Amino acid sequence: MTKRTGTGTGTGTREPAAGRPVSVPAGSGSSATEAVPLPAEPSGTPQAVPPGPTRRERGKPPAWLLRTGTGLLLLALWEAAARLLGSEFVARPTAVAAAIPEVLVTETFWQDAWATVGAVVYGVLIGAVAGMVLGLAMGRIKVVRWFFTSYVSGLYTLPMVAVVPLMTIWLGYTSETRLVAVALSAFLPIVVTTADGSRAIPKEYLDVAHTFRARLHHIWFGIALRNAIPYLIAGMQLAIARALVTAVAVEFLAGVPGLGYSILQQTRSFQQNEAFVGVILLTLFVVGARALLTLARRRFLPWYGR
Amino acid sequence: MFATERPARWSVYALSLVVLAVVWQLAAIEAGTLLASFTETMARLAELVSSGELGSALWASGRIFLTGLALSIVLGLPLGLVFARFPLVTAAVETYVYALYAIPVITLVPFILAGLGFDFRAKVLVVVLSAIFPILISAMEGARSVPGRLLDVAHSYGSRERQLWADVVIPYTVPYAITGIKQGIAGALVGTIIAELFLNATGVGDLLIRASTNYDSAGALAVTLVISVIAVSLMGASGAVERRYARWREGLSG
Amino acid sequence: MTRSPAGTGAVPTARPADPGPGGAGGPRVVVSRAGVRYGDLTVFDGIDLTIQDREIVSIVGPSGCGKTTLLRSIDGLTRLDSGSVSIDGTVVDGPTPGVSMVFQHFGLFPWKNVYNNVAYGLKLQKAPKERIAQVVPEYIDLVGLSGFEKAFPHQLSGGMQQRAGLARALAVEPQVLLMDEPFSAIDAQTREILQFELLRIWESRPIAMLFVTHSIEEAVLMGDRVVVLKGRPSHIHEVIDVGIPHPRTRDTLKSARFQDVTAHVWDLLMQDVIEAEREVG
Repeated sequence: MTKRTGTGTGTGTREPAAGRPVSVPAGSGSSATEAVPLPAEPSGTPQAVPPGPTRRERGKPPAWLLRTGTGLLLLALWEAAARLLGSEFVARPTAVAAAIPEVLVTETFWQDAWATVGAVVYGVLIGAVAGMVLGLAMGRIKVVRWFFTSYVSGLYTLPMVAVVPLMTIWLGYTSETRLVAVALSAFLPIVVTTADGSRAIPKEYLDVAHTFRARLHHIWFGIALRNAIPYLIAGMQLAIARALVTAVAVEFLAGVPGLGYSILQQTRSFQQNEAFVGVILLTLFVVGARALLTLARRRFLPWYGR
Repeated sequence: MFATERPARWSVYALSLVVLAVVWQLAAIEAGTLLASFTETMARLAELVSSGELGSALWASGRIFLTGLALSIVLGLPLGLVFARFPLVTAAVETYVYALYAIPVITLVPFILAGLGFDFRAKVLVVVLSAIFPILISAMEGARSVPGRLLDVAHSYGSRERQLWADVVIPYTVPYAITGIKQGIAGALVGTIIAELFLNATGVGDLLIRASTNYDSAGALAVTLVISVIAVSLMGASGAVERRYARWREGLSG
Repeated sequence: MTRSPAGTGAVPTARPADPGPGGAGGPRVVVSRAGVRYGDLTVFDGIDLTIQDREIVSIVGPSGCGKTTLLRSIDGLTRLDSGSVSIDGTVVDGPTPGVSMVFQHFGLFPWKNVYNNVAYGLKLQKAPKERIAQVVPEYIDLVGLSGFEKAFPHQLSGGMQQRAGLARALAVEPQVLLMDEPFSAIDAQTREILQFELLRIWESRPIAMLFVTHSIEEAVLMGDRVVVLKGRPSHIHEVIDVGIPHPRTRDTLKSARFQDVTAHVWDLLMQDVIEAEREVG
């Protein structure tokens, strides 16, 4: 990937201040300038805020305070509900927090976690590579698109969880079933997004390419694939979430060892707090993986915007 | 798209169907009992239909699906609007909305099973948890992204907050809400299947599990096919509604 | 003209503006020592401006000089940090009935057709149905949109959308019309047509009008006076009496007076650009 910073770093970066956007967002970091005392408001102003919107916010509690407060309130509500309504085995925040250190030193927890997460990672990688190939072909070759479109969109729309019973018939109650099911779950969103991305190339790009007599592989890999990468990343973010659901579904249904299965076992044996640590870990995995992809997109595809 | 492409396109569609049928049939001969052939699957489907098994299973699952989806819409849309239009509320709850959305609902199923059992309510809860967040978040994003210039117009003509909701915020949010509902339908489908498979098997879940444990691949294929057709039609219909509203949404950028 | 140093230019207290005589022929809009800041950036400061009834005042200036912000504060959409605006002697504190604004990006509601967009202001004023039914077609006709009542904004060209925007602003029969770069998002030919049509409409029912624009020619063509904003923070650099009588036509563009005034404004603004370039280089 070539960097696009070659020109214009040395000169012309300073724009005249008149061209600066005037709507400087309030708050966020620039403490030095905020400290300058503002002239007092005329005390005779009758009412506080006019109905019209002003961009500036006055006298608001800081967002972090609200956020923390709400978080504590939610946890307190959960705790209270669990204590008042549920049996003593129902997961509650304090007990979950207490269970975290215990669970994190258990070897089986990490084995189970890796079994599930590893299957998702491998499955998504397999699905991504295969999905990219088919997606690119579908995006660029009409006949291929026409041939596969109904199957791809049909399978993409079908909840993969519904295919799991069928897969256990074909592949048995094994961890290979999980890997195949996960790869298929990841494959479909990636095909769809890559096909969209490699198809939705602005026409000017193609015109430019044709003007310079670009070869087919230039268009495919130089333009189509590159144009599809942001779509591919979005596809992978979707794929990871879907793949995890499928992985857990296979574990539930086929009893394949993994974090999903252990969550099921633990809740059955009145260890809900321990089980909930697993839920937290899997949630963090999905959030983390998606955040990583967003980060990668911002780092490597700055031209794509946000 | 040129008009001359159409015959070519349709013949490729036809070809793809023929290829599927042939490959399926050949694979079935090769695989033996593991993979029912196309004809066997259709025969099994006819059997399921005529015995009424499929109908009652679809009705049982459909009730869960529709109840969960309706609840998600009724709760999700107003909550999304409120969360977005009051900046203090937005700041307070936004993080948690996204955090809850990130939890894979399937991992909560064992807890719901332990806490609520496996009755209708528990299953509807799974569907709501799967469907409400995309609806809520879309409504939130719609209400939040009302362009400043439209709010300016309303304020310029002296609109008060209540009129602003009726004239600007709610109409502007409609297409977003529709997109959210479309995603909510997809979520509700997944949620229904999860609920029907893992909170004791009933409805289509029962059919799938029985087919699976009996190595009845024809039955499993038939039911999966039916689910797929339902999913595609639901998403197709909601996609069509979505596109109808997309036109003025695009016109807005100008 | 004195240039106040950035950041300290705020006037300590808001001085009550002269109410002025008001009424027809008198001052409609009085802007007094007006200033707006965004954080540590002072956009403009110490603006004094009076707009008479039946007068068009154009405001030109480099981008970011706060032309639009000034207009918005007259409409009550943006709050002043110092100074005040009064309309007919009443200090503006939020949107005022009797003041209409035409927006740069039209601001039409995409889910309302032309008729309902034009009726919007009247509906908010709780005008009786019969009156809306009578007034709205009148103004749709005035801006030349008859036959397009049922059309939605996305079905119209930019020029036609702005015609609808103008009809909406006029339908409430304002005493003050604020135009925020109304034709800047419209192609050049349509723009010229709309300029003369706006002049024709104004000449048939003259009111106080403030016209913010990027284009020097447009400022001179539309304005009885042209206000040049300049500097950082910006202030009124010069007010030019255009001195071209109404009605103005395409021939106005060829007149020597038009050429002179345009050239003068151009010089004023180019000075700034040259200075800015010198600073950067």
